[in-house]
Amino acid sequence: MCLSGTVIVPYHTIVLKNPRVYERKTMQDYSFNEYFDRFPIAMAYVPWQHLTNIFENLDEAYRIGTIFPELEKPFTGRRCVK
Amino acid sequence: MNSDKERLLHEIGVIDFVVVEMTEYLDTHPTDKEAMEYLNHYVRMKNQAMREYAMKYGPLRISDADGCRQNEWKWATQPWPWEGGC
Repeated sequence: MCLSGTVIVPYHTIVLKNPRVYERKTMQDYSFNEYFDRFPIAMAYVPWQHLTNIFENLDEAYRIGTIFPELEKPFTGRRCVK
Repeated sequence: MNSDKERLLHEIGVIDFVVVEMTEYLDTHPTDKEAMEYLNHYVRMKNQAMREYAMKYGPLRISDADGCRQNEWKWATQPWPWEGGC
């Protein structure tokens, strides 16, 4: 997992601390650099999205399948190669 | 097929797509004011386009159906989706 320059916020950290209490947390509840040392290994984490801008050409966005430029992830049909 | 009708329908599809994207973003970022402003803008735009479509070609949703304006209940008399309507 690449952490450099990436904002990764452990959404379920609260749940891990107290499994019996479900707390609804949103992005704004966290500061970005916390908890890195608390990440359990072998788990998957989803970095939070931050609103930057949306595609100016909405027809293009419609075709691509997202209005968020940072989510444009065309499937190339290949496995990940270094 | 009327090309203005197709164009308007496509426009509604695109705008509605933006609305859905923004609502999904707001599900996880419910206090993002900028996103809310985006959403409001496109919801207004969508409503406007839906009304325009309803006036010209018949309502796409029941809230735009206005029997009085066209002297008939277009909701029922326009082609159903399986009849080639929208």
